[in-house]
Amino acid sequence: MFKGIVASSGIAIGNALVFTKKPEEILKHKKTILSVDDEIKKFKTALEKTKIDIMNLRERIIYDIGSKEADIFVAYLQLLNDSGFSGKAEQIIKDQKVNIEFALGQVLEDYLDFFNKISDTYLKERSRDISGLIDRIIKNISDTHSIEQKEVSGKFILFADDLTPTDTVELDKTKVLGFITEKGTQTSHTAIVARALEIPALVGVRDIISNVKTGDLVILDGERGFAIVNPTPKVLNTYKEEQKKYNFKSKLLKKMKRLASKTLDNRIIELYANIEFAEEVSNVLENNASGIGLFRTEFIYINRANLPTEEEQFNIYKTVVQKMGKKPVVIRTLDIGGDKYLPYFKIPPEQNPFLGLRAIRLSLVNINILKNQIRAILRVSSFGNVRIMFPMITVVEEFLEAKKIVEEVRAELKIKKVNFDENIKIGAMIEVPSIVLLSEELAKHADFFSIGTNDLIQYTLAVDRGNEAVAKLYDNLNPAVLKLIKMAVENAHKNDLKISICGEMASDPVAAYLLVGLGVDELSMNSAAILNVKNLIRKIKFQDAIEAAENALKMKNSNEIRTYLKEKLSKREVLL
Amino acid sequence: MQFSKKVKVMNKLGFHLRAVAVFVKEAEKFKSTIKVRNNDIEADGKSIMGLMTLIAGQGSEIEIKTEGPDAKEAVNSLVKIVRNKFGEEE
Repeated sequence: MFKGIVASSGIAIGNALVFTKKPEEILKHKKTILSVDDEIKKFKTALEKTKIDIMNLRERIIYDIGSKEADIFVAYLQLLNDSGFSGKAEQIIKDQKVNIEFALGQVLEDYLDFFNKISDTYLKERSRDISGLIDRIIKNISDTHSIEQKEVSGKFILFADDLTPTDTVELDKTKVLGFITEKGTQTSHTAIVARALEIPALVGVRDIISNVKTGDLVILDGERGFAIVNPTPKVLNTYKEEQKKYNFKSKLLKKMKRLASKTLDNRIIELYANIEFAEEVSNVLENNASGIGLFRTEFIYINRANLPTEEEQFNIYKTVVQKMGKKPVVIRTLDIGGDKYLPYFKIPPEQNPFLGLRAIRLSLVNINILKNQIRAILRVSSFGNVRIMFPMITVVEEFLEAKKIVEEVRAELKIKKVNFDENIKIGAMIEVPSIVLLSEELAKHADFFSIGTNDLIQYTLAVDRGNEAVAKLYDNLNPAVLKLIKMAVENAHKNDLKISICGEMASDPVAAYLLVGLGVDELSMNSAAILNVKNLIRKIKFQDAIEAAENALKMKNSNEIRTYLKEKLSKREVLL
Repeated sequence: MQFSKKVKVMNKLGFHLRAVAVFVKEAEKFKSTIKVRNNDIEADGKSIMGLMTLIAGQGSEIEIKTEGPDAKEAVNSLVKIVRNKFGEEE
């Protein structure tokens, strides 16, 4: 049994298809190509992507180890432009009309031949550097793996080290029962694709690739987060039953789509969706969300070689906003720093990145980047219902400063006679304990609040949940966290502001019950969780939830709270 | 202007990828054409693959030839880089 992180829920039973990256074989696989121009274009794209990968990697290494160790990446970057390397591969593609992989194989072979003639072991060792670079390029060519897909007939569970967007583009998605990857997180590309396709996925499953072969029978349990390779008949039968139950449940949830998100005593709790990519809007609409409660914009900035222009951003936002029609779209300004880097934008190394120059702090010292983004957001506001949200506000002044920037951009656009929504709402993310304590004052200046529970928990409990040694402390039902949420809610309501939750906590029905009881007006979560939470909302009474929250706040620890809430809910049969 | 200087490769790993990268990065700063010769093989001093194929291990004596408006500065600074073991410790 292999444990992993559930990136998309569900249960899949089927044969494995392992996406192994065996470069030697790939490099020997000669294919005649139809169009030299297309192949060269593909090669150039792969080189460009590789360049970005290497720049990212180099940043990380400089950050983690030091600049000297990162010099090898400078060499890689040079090689990508070198006439003797990429130039030579390009020539082979043109002359022999062969695929990129084969051409790169030739370059490598010539190079190795050369070194095999000599005895200097040090230099011989160096040939590995070149094959390492070739592996990276190969990874960025989309159809590298299509060779293997033919090996399995029928549907399969796909296994990979990690899947890049290019890997999944060429994949016949109708044949995939589920995804299992060794690397990745709930926000990685595989996870998003899986949720979009509504098929189960596990990410971060350690050592799985070396323990599974193409053709093995596999159970993917995307409820509990594990995979079983070649199960016994008994286990297999149990899972077939589980799968039936799960499918029954999802059918039931589908019925929820057109129903209102309303408690038995008529309190409406709006359910919103969190998105990262414009492509996710179809999911948001599919699950009938009331709007987008959190549009993370980092991904527009990450994975590229330079800053996105105002126009590029405008176009991305416009796609989303137009598709959402009259439903609100809350665009959160750039939230990098911490664990997210931009290869083209250098931040001096920090001892404590999560306590450093991240999110709004970074934007406020790089006003031009912020202004560019605000301009794009304001321009798009005339196409629908757009709101601006600033991440990681720590003190009230930061919010005022950010609002001032919005004012400046508004004035600028007015002079240029550019249309925008004059009444655009500007909200603050509540993610730092200090701003909760200061929220009474902040509420006088903000149009809405949104609590980012992931960071609020991390900063309240001083715990990095990625650190296994302390991850146990990370708990969304910790009474300290609940008290902060309650305080933020009260201060919002005192000033007639709506307050939402846009962290993972909102998608957990037990926690959602409590949040409703604490008075939270709106919940924003990944689209896939919306119907499950709606099912909960429709079966509870707001008055009961308030009472339950009051009782929970008197309890000593999260275990006690969770047990209590689960018991309350089990009586109403809301936990599917 | 044309210049040529000989220099011994002193670092332990010789003209390996990292070292070559440091060399090319410097060479690219100059307008002059730069050639590097080791025994019978000559390579473009601005091409990383070319320099790798020189197989210049520790102890080999290479010749750096430069030609162009900044040839003198180029040859001097490149010789210095090789002498300084490309910034490596051994």
